[in-house]
Amino acid sequence: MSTGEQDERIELLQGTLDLLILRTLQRERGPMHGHAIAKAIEFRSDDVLQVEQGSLYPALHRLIKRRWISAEAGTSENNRRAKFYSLTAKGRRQLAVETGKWDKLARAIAQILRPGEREEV
Amino acid sequence: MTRRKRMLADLEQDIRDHLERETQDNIDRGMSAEDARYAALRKFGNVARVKEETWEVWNVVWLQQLIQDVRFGIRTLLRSPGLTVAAIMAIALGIGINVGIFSVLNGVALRLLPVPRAQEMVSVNQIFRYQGRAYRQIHNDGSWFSYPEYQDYRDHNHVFSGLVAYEPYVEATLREGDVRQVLGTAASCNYFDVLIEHPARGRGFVDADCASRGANAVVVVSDDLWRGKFAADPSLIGKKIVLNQTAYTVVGIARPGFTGTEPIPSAFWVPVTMQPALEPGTNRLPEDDMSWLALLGRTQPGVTMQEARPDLSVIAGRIDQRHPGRTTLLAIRAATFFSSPEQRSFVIPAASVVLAAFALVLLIACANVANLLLARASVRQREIALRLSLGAGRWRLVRQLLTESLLLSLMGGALGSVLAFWSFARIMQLVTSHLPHDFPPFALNVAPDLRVLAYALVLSLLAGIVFGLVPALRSSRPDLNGLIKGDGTSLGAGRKSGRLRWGHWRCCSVPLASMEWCLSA
Repeated sequence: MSTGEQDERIELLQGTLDLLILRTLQRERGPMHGHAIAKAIEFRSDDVLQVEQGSLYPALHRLIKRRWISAEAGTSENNRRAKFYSLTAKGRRQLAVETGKWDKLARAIAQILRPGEREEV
Repeated sequence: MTRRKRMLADLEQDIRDHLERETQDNIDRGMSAEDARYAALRKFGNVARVKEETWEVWNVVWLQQLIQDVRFGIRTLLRSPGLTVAAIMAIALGIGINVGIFSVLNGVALRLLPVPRAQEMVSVNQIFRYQGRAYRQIHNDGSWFSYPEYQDYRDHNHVFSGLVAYEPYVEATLREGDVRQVLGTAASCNYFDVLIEHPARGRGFVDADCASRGANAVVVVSDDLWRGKFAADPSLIGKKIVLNQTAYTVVGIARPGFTGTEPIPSAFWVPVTMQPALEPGTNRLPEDDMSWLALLGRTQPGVTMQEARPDLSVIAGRIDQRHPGRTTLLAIRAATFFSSPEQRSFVIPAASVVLAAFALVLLIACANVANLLLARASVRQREIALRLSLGAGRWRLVRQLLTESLLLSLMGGALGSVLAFWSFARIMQLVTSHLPHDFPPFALNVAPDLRVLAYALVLSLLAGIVFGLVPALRSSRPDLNGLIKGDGTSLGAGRKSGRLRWGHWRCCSVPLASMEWCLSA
């Protein structure tokens, strides 16, 4: 059965996706609905990151539960009812922490994968 | 509405909105309406799984699954009542006998003494290390104390609100009409005060009773002796009774149910200073190097056993100076029946052997139930194969099957424990009837307490895992190949599982037989 593999992949996605959502909400400086967040992530990454859009929702709910983002009901540009998400103060702090961790991780991995590059630069 | 409810209620709408937006985007890019919708769905992923995962964010999934498993398990068990009843009976027998035996052992060696505020009582014993020649007289128990030693500890400790010394199991001939042999206790005169066991009638001992050696002949008799020998005559107080040819004035009658601090009931108590008169021909009181008195202390409020040790060790060191070459270690522990190291070195191995023997009975019962479950699992293989092919995880299936067997074992355990508590008197009788005839009766409290209940629970859970795990592991790995080929006959699909069969009942008779064997051995 492939449940083991699946679990691993989701876990890897989870942390990253959370970080991407937080960063997107911070960059856009305003409440966004789910679809707009998905679009923004795709656009910002030059369509390299093809997030399965559905997985956005468990992630959004997880962030709400941790009170890193908040949700409010509103109407969208074409006058449709939608749920808008925005960063909370706690989420802003968390983003800084997580970004720092991510940088550290990325640097460490890069150092292991291409140890020569540093000297060349 | 809670955050959780609000968020989940809107989820469906949010997902629908999302899909509509994506579809609209796709149409704007020039797709046909149908293609646009499919592309949106593809990009979104499995809607049902997204909902489920979102739902899991807010809910404790394992608890929900546990409730599901329990419900389903109960339904499954009710579908084959014969098997269920047989399995429960087998487990009830196995666990019942074990819990019964354990509650006896609990009464013997684990329960605190049957006195008020028993958690304050500690038993003090000594372990001697000698350099060279060892000479110490031992009467009863080698880790007990001499009278001068007791006086030292009593007068110089800073941790006890009271320290009691007593010599148990003193045989006495009571001449009152007929002649009767009774067992009594020679106790220090603070005995009733420190134990907080003030006699129901009359008084306990006062210091004056112990003031002069062999002079003050007073006695407190037990409620049993008072009723059995003196017909509960209230005017007994003040009268004289003759024990071992000395006349004692009865000053008190003990509280009903108080039989001393030893497993064998004491019929009377006399001041320890009466020992030479009670046991003519011996005078242990002046002996400095003799073990004959058991010590029980009641700690002052807030004093722990760890704090008591250094304080008492100072006194032990001082006494050692009187006996060159001797080093005394103190064993200080919560006071129970059999708390001296010498007694424990006998009781604990004996108890372990008995418990292990009866655990075998339970193991045999478990093996039988496991067989039953395996037989039934073969009937259920179609159900299990279906669930596996629908994508149920193996661990999830094992968990569900284990829940069923734990249900069985917990029900069996509950039934068995109730039976054991209800029939504890009979078990006690059985145990005592295997002791020699001249053995006096035990004053054991075998009623269940928290410890016994915990033992029953742990035993039930263990039993459930023991007899459930192998069938669960085996049946969750069915031969899918054979099933796909439609080889129905090998699955036992045609067998009825609900009917009572002889085989079911045999699984009770085997543990029953082994139980008999254990008891007669």
